[in-house]
Amino acid sequence: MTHTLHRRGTVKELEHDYVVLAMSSKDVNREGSAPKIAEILEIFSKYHPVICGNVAGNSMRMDIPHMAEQTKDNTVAHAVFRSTDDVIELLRELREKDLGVSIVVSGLFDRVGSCCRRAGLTPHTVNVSLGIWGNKKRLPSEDVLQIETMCGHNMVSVSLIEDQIDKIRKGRLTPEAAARRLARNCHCGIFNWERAADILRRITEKESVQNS
Amino acid sequence: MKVDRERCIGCRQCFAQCPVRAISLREGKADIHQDRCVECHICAYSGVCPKNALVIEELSYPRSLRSAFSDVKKPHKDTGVLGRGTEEMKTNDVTARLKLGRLGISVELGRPGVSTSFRDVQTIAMKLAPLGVHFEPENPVTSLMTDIRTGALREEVLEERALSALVEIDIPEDRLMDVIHALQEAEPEVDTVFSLCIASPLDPETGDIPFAETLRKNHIPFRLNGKTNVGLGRPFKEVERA
Repeated sequence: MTHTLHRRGTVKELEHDYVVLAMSSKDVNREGSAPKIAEILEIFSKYHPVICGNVAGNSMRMDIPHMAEQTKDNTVAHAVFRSTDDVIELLRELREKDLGVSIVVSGLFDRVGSCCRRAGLTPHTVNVSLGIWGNKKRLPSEDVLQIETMCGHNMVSVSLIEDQIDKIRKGRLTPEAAARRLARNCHCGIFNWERAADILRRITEKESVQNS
Repeated sequence: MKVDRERCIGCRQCFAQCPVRAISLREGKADIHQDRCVECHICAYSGVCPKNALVIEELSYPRSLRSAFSDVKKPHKDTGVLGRGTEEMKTNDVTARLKLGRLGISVELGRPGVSTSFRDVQTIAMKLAPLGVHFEPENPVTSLMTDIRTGALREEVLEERALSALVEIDIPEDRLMDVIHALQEAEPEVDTVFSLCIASPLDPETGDIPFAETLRKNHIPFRLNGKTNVGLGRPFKEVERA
């Protein structure tokens, strides 16, 4: 599962996009881990996440206590943060609590490495994206792809993104409302709707400039 | 996935939800193109149907594979993980499954948003198998292989489709460029896209990504953002050398 890995964008954009996830291991520490994962979801919520979730739902659909209640041993808790300051404080608290659940941060490697050091942690293992290969003619535009890859499970379809762009263009939705609508579909809670709103605004403003 | 035609009012709300554009209008009602549908159930999970006309069906093998690989809300029966891969590097701080000197490589076909046939999955697996790669035994694609020495999949699954399917392998670090070349050769042979990634423990002495220099030297671009396991799992396993 590499659902947080292949996010796209410029360095400037990715500087405001950090996904943190918590999971236990089937062969090592899964049994009885549900309360710890639920606690981590509650901890996530203290550090101003853009969104959080755990597949049972996301914060666009239900509140944190309700989500936490549905945590199982194999649940993965997720949250998206917009600043390294929040990530550092979060990692510090997780280090102090020492709950023993594996924590993974997706984001710019140098920024994440720096967050770890400032929180007193040493990064252990990395996963590096080599991007998209194969028949790339089948992909949508880069802007749409940036939105689509924020939900690595593709629960936010290209058709739905195009539909929201159409509604913004017709003045029926703001970019923020459209982005929030898209975020509802991502049950893991890793869709950075704030970034998506910026991209939707860029797409629709670019079109209105071209048409004027 | 099917539409209850008695309930459907043809409002088209579900059309845009489908990641593979499998829903269209037939005689005033929504209709699901069964060959294109990957049984991800996203249309039903979206909750947009005002009449609850989208029905998740019990599927029999081999069509059941579509749902097993595409419905992220159901843990895969082999891995227990939500999603179609394994825990890979996410729990490496407690499993030490990935060791220094070896690389975990994932080729995720169909992602993003294109979907894949299992024939294309087989094409990739068969390109990699002759290199003597180690296919991850817990990965669901590996379980579909009839022979891991060739990468061939069961004949009856080849025309099935999934939103995405991951081929996961483990190789010695010095074989990286062999794998890259094999994948470059496979690119024009598949009718889909694939997202590629490489996982490894960081060098404990330098903190460097061990394979980054090889990629740079060979002009293979990689992204500046990715996943970092921060080492908070317990009981903690130090990075081990293969």
